[in-house]
Amino acid sequence: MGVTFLQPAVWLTALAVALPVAIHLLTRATRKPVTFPTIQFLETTRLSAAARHAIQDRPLLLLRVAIVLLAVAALAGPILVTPAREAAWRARVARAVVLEDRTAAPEDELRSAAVARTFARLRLRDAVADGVRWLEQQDPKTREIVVLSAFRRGATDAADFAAVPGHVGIRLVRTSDGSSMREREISKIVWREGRAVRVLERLTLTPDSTEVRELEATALDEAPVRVTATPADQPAADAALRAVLRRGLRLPPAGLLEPITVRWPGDVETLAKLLEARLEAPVDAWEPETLPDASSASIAREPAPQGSPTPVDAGDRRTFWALALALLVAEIWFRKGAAWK
Amino acid sequence: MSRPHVTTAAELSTLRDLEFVARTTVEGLRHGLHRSPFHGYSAEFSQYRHYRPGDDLRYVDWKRFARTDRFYTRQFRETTNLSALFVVDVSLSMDYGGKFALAQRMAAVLGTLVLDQDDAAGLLSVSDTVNYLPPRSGHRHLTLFLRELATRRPRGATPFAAALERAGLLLTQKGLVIAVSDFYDADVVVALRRLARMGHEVVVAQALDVDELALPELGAVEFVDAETGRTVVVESGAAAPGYAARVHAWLSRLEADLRRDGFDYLRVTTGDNLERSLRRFLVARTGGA
Repeated sequence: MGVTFLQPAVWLTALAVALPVAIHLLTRATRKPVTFPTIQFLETTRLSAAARHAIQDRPLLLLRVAIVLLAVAALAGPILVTPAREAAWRARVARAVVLEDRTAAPEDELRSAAVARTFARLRLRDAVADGVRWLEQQDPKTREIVVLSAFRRGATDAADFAAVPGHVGIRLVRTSDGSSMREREISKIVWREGRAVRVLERLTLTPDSTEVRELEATALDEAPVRVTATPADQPAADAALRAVLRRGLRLPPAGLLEPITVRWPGDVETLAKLLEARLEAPVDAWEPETLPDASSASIAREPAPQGSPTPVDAGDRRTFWALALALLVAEIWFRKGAAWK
Repeated sequence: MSRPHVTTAAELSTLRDLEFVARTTVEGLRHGLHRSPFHGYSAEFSQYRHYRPGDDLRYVDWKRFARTDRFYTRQFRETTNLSALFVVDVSLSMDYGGKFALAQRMAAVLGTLVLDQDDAAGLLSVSDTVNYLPPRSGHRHLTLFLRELATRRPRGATPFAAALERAGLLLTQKGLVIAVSDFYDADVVVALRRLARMGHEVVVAQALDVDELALPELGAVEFVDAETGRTVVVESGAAAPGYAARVHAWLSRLEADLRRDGFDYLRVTTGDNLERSLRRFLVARTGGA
């Protein structure tokens, strides 16, 4: 068990204690005690400076020095470092929770840190930088950044964590698993009831099921897709377009800025492939690819405890004051006892 | 209670010194004293001897002077019943300067006076052990008395009142108690009164060093109480007037108390002439004769 101090500079004031002791030691060498038959007729006189400060009663001196030292120690913010406290201190964590996915909520386990704060910015890198700055302002303790994100490929990489100091731990928590469940909104044009309709659907893919739910349908004045053909082939081309649209033609996520015009290839299937190619909206490209676990594992690391283990406990300060007070009472008792002799 | 003791060279020196002082002082005192300061009973005529200055004129045989034209003093074989016990303070407060040596000399002179008149003298000192020489008379006992006195050394912090109380227990018959001390013990007057109530005659002989009356100029000094070990640091120059005033006030109170109780009081310091002080005391004791 040891003692450490929050404000060790206060101990400089303890030098005042050394003054009477030093004078005592200096004068003791030159002043030999004289044994006298009785001192009952000797009373304290106004002494010279050196003699006035000379110590007559060593136990009383020790008592007073102890009082001053305890008071100074109390002012210096004493902390008794016990193994139990040290362990508790090391268990404390300052945690910066970075939300890349604003909809994700930190789990209770993450909130259980002694000090925790949540950061969310448009770019993950900025949120991480905010978290690092905040962590550096915390007391010496174990620090870590926890990132809650889906970790889409391209949205998160090791460069985002380059500014994180080595002693700060990094923990990556995936908030959703794209491989287990994907959900996208799909726009497509469908030929319904003799006219083109823009339909918004939500496609939910899980390992067990695929669900398509139509969210809205907007009738269009004309189809944004045209097939040009010779006048002779035009009726067949229009019929083929209607056939393709009846199956539904997916639009890119950004929408369709201007109508698409393709030449009549001669058959329906070829027309469908041609249109899909022009729309550049393959199904696989819509789905997000996430950062592989191996990559996220290479980024993550355990936090390293920082600084000396100084578990703060205000009770220690009170303990030192109480001890000083007790010694002060003892000193008064000691002096009165000496006076009554 | 007395113990076998081998006299050391230092003690032998002290003994010889005591014998010398006692003898010379007693001889000098005889010239000033007209009659013995300590009274025994002497009824039986023993012999004549030539008159010596200082002899009590009551014992000069005037008829023989008329016949022979020479002065003769009648001497009596004294059947003494005076038993004097010297209670000497051997606490450490006596161990300062020449104070204890002064106390030894006072006891030696007075003891020699007592023993020279064939009275009995004993010696008691109490420290951590009790040293007691029972009162006896005779020339051989004088040597033993002085030897015992020479071997005593101050030690311990036994209150002098305890020694006086022990004296009261040891004395089996009424006698003379001569207390030799510095009398710093506050309870000593009570103990002396108790002895007086027991029928003993009490003589108080106080021995002090001159430093105890007037504090020497030593500058800032840490004084250590010889018996209690307590210390006090004072500027001796500044403390001296107050110290002297307090000591003299204490001495005045002590003397007044002792005289009120009817005790003969003798105070001698190391700066005084012992013979002169004793003569003044003994003359006063014999009623100024």
